[in-house]
Amino acid sequence: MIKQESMPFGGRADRIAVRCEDVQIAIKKKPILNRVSFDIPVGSLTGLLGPNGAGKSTLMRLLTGLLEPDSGRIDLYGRPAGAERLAELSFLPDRGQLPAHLTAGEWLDLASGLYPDWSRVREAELERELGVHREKRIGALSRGEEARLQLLTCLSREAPLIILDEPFAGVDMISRERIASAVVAEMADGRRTFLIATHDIRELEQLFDRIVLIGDGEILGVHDVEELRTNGRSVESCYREVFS
Amino acid sequence: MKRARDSLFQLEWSFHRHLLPLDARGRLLWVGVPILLIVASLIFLDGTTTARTVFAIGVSLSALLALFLGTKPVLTLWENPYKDWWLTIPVKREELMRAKLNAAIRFQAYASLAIWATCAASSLIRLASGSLDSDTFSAGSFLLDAFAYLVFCIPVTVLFVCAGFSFVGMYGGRRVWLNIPFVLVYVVLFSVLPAIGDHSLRLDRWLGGDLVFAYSLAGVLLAATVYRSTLRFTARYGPKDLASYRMGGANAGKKDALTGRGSRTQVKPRRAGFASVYALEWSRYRYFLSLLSVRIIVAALFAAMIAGGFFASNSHDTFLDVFHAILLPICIAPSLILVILNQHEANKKRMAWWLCLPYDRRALLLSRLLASWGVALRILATLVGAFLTGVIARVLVIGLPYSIERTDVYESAYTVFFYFVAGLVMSSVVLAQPYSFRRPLFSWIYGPISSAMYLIPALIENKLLPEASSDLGIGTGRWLALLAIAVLVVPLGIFSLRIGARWAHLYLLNTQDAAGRRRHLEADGKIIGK
Amino acid sequence: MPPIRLWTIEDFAIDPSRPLYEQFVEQIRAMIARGELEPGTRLPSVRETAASLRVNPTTVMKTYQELERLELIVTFRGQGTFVTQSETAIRSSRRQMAREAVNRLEETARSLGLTLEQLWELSREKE
Repeated sequence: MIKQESMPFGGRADRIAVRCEDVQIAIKKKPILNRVSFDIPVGSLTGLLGPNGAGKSTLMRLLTGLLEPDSGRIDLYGRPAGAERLAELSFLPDRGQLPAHLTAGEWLDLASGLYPDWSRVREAELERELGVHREKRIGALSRGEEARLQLLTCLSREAPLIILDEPFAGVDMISRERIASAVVAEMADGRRTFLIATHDIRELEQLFDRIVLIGDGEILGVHDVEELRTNGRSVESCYREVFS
Repeated sequence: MKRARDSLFQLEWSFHRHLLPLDARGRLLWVGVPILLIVASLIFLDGTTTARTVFAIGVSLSALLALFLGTKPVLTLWENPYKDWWLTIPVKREELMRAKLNAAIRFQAYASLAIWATCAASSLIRLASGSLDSDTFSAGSFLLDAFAYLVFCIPVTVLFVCAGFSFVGMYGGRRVWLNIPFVLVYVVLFSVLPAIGDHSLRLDRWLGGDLVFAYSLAGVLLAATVYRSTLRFTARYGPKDLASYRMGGANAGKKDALTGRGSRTQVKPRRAGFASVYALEWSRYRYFLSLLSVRIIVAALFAAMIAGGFFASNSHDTFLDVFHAILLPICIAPSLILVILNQHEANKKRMAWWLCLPYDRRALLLSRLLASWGVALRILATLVGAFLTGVIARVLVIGLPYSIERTDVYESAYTVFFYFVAGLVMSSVVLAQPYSFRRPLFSWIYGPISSAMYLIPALIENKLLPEASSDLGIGTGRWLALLAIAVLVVPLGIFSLRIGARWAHLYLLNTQDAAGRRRHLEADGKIIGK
Repeated sequence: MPPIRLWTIEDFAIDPSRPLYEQFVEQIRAMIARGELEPGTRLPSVRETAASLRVNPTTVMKTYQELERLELIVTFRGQGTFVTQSETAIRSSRRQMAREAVNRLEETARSLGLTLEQLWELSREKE
């Protein structure tokens, strides 16, 4: 009998990894997020879906504690978010780049010192899985290779919350598949929570447990994906309904 | 925690690696520049400049460099896609800043040391060649001065790197106004440098080794406080401002976002042809000049110029000196802008799009050249205007202790024309850079010329306009000489423009990414290095 | 040790508008019924399957659970999960599939107002 406790849901839904309540923020007098509220249960893989300019990146910055909301609250594992909680989450920035002058190996060595929860074992495993070459200079990597290196950096840590902002932007198909496989493998033990912000729905549709739809700074819907499918809708059709 | 700190410092230090004398290029910098400076000192300095003064100049240069080195890492941070990774490293914000600041300080320490060594070497060489007054020279005081200035480097390094670094906190809110004193520090240092050289005898007392030790002591105490405050200040404001900044200027004000009107970056669509290409280039500067921080800096310079005009017209010579001092950087600026701009555009992948505009490439390059001159002239006019306003104010309020002769006007006009022509030609020559991608040998000619050209105006000015002539005025002979030179070098400029146009597409093959890839592949043995 | 069968997403035809695990169960059951998935074949762990298919591990979990409920796969502690060797189970599954297929045919017949036999006759009619 497959063990019940390795199921990410059912009995664990009362543990909330991320809770946003009435979050509001404006940057340089321009309102970005308006009364945003949603939950992310522990062990789930939640997709934050929305077009460009919806406020996804700003929301990420709030979750990582780089920005503070003008009003409302954001709690990670029951305590307020902030820059001091960066050790509890692993963040992949949108269109981010790693220092181009370092080789992948140099960066990974430095990363193992920078991140307190670095796991060398995982790093080695993921290096194989994602096909990262240590001797290559980061500035000389293709977009797909760099994306895989960045994901490697994120996943080699043992932080319980992993936030990926557009992990697939500009990445070739094979790299995308490898990244998706690596993300899934990480999820399997049910202890890590993933939040993926994207507008690449088709590729990730089959991974989501939950989707949060955001547009123009407002939450337009929170759906359990299984429920959607039971009612004959796909994630894509739901997105289409909401945004067109 | 200790491990994180070390790793963070290693990370920040790696950013400075490319400037260290670890490879041929770095060695060229660390050996070439001192040699250049020593040669310059042999040409420009005479017996009135003592070894002590040279050390003082060296320290001022260090300070300026430190200021710049402190600012540079934070200046490039705003648009750098690495920013988000850096900000989410799980350490205290102060630790982030500390590592960056310390790396800059360490590098500047090396640079200061190099400058100090260059000063010492220069004085010794000048002594040997007889250019330094050997009567007033004493080995004892030289050694004392040398040691004192070496020690003085420490607080100077820390203080000015911190000052430059604090720029990162000056982006948002009321702190933007801090840009004014910030710029003033730059301006003051810039003016101090030549001033020390000119007034060396008068200042000699204040520059002596014993006093410098005292300065060092005070400096160290000050530096410790400034260091701590800089860390606290930048840690408190920097990361938040950096986080809320949206790259590529997407942070439009509310009005712009909602209505699209009121944006100063809009180009009127009615122009066509060359005018529209020019308008495109110009819009870049327009946007830049419309940024709040830039406007504040320009306003600060404007105010400084008025004050400068007011006080400098104190003496005839100072008046002309300041005038020249304004002209020089402005005329060099377009060349600098063009070099950096073209490479930057290629890196950002806009170059391909630009080259595909349906216009003759020469026209495109010309528009870029003209636009950069347009902005340079505009700023020049503003600053000169401010300067003259200050002078006029003085005339009205206090009156001048001397009278302005016709010859002064002629000389000023001459200088203006000279710098203008030189600058114009230089910026055209600079456009020929892409040819060096085709024929690497060309870069051996091109490189030294473009570096040396920053010195050429000063060199020529010193040789063609010796002090004596300021009494005699500029004769027609001078004007004819200028005309003759112009006739000779202008074709050079045009020729360079054509070469640049012909080979501009080579920029596309030589972006930073491509260069990096090639370097890697060469190292792998996959390409035989050329 | 029997070899492991690793799945790729090309092995399945997935409609994103229906619960995924249902479709996986159906199609794996079909594979077993057809003999494509031989009795005794070792199946990869939930994690491995999820990673190679690039679907949520919960989905795979539910799939395996359902298959186990249908007695089509068996888990041996410490050894892994295997396709059942039990002939009865497989036959029972084939019977179930046959019934479902016939039900669908009957529905089609009903929608045309015919019985099953009439449907069959209609299909064999010459133009």
